[in-house]
Amino acid sequence: MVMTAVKQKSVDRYVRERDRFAEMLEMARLVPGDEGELYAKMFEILLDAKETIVDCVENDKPFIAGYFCNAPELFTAMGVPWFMVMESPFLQSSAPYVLSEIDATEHMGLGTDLCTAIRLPIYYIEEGLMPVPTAAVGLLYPCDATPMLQQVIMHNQGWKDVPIFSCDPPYTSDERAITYFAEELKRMVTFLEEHTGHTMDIDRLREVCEESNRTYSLWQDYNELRRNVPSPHGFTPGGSTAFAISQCFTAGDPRCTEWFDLLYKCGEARVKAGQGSIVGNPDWKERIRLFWFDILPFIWAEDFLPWLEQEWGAVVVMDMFGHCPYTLIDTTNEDTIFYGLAKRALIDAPMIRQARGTAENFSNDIRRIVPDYKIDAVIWPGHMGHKDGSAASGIMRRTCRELGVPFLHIGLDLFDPRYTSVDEIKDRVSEFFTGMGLG
Amino acid sequence: MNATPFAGMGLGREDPVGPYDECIIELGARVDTIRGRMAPSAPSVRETFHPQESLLDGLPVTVGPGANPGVILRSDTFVELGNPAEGSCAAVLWTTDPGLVVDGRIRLLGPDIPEAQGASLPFAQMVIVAGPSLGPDEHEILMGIQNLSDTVEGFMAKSTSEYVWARVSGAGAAKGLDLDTLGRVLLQRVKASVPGATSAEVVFVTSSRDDVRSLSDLAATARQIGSDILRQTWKDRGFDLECDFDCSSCTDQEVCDDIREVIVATARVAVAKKQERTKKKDRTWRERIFNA
Repeated sequence: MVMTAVKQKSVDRYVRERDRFAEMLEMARLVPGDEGELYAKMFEILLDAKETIVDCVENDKPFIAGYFCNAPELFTAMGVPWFMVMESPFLQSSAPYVLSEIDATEHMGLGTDLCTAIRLPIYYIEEGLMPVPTAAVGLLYPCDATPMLQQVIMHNQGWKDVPIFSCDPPYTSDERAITYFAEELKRMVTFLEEHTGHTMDIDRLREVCEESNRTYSLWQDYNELRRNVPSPHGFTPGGSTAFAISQCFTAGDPRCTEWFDLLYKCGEARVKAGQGSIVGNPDWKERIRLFWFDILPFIWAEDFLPWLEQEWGAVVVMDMFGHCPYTLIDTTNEDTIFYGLAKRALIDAPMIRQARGTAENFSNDIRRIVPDYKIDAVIWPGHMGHKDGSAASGIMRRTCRELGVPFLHIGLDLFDPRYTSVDEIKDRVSEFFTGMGLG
Repeated sequence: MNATPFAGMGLGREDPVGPYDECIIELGARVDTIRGRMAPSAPSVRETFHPQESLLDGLPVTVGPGANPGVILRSDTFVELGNPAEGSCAAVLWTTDPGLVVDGRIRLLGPDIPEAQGASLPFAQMVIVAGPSLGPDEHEILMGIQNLSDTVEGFMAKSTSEYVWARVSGAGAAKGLDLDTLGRVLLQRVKASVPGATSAEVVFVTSSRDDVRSLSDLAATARQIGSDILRQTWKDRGFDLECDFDCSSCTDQEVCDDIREVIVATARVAVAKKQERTKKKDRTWRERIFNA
């Protein structure tokens, strides 16, 4: 099918990322053993997600824009292809060109104090660099910046015909709030049925949620392996990758369960062999177990995270997105299913869990994770967009003090290494480790 | 403190003194209901009593920080407790009324660890603590007690947030690890961590998914009460967990008003500029037509 220039432009970045994933998949297939297969399976899922969207755009098939915290099991059950609006800043594959795109967001007048993860999709939409979906599911939480992104979706000329529905998030986290949000998710399904032509079959949804439960159970199992000293993996392949595979590209999908099964197998093999994050260097030893309480800095991860491990023996044993506080979904009936999905979307999902609700989640998670994972230090990176969390850093610091674990608040941009340079961050971290007697 | 989810339920107590008192009374009633439902052939409620001074005497396994140093792998698991698919809940309920707690009592409704090899048992773990001086200051410590983490040899509590999901290893079970042991460790942790705790007891339920579920809403209510306590505790420390949305009492109202004025003024300027541009455009258009 011949595409218009506008359509072609909207999908160009996706085609580029698809091709990048295809290359990465080929490379992963060359890595022998289970760990090679693990990476290959991951890229298969990512690649398939990209290919599906490109196919939808090229062939005028319905697809939607959404978020990981919109209960993506519903999209899977309905068979609606979807992509995450705020996806690129989290993909390392964007690293080669994301800095120039961040510059472009400034040139178009967006304030540099606005979260980069929000600024980038605004730029993509305004510049026609994001596929225009059949319908969009918005996000009005967890922070003030996300509704702004929805406003752009609503008012952009290219998206003017895209119907949008956003679930109304309650402020509290009690039973009433979850029940209310479950009803919102049901309204979202009605909206999607109306605009995509796909329908919901409750038996299919039950199957998908049961598959999703298997995925999350395996994730929980895997995370227990990270409690081992040494932790079998560091910043990759578990942690945030597990988050991405469980809910960012597809959810309730047997391929996700297979991936987690393999992840567990790889982790278990390392635990049994007494191996840590770095294998093959007999002089290397895990010396500092870190809880990185935010998203990992994917765009500049390669400049920083391997340095942490090699220079300091400091391993990110747990991070905000690798944490698995999810509740399994009770699939007894439609109401229990929607209730379970609502709880996950509103309370369990990372960043939402911390930024939407009351700040006690910061304190409670630290209290649980530090002893369970034998954490030696907690780092709150202080991403410039996570002002809500930075406002709670006093609570985090005090909690850490009570637990007797050092706490570091840096202040950086997780996507832009020019905000606080990687060298400066390394200095801060080194001083912190030395000052606290960890190094 | 809002602790009235059971108000009007005829619990026979009109003057609850602590935030969890009604929960504790309701727990007693529900345990009685579960006991009544259990088949006569099944092992009914097993009760043991342990004086404080001998809580850890003769335990079959080692206890203490790091007593279970590694992880218990799936392949080494003797029994799983509290998989959410089977049913799981946990709570710590505290009171200042010693009359609500039988000190040193451990009750088990349902099969014990040695009887459940290879099974995945539903699991409820309810710890009840009393002490005349107990208050919000002890709350966080008490909440932390229920997570046994890696402190019991052969036992691994998974790192979950709202319930207890655990594994018992084959080696632990072979040494005689049972729920009475876990109960004694929990009681010891209470007494050791909170000097003001004068009495404590533990209830375990493993009988069925429905029985465990019948306690889930109680655990949820306890969590909500706990959140309220925490919020107040942090407030007393100088940290507000919630924003105050009431403009009349907000200390930032002056700043907020200033921002609003700036926004209005900026909008006025923008409208004026737009009107000016429109006029100019209109003029240019007229001039062009006129000149043509």
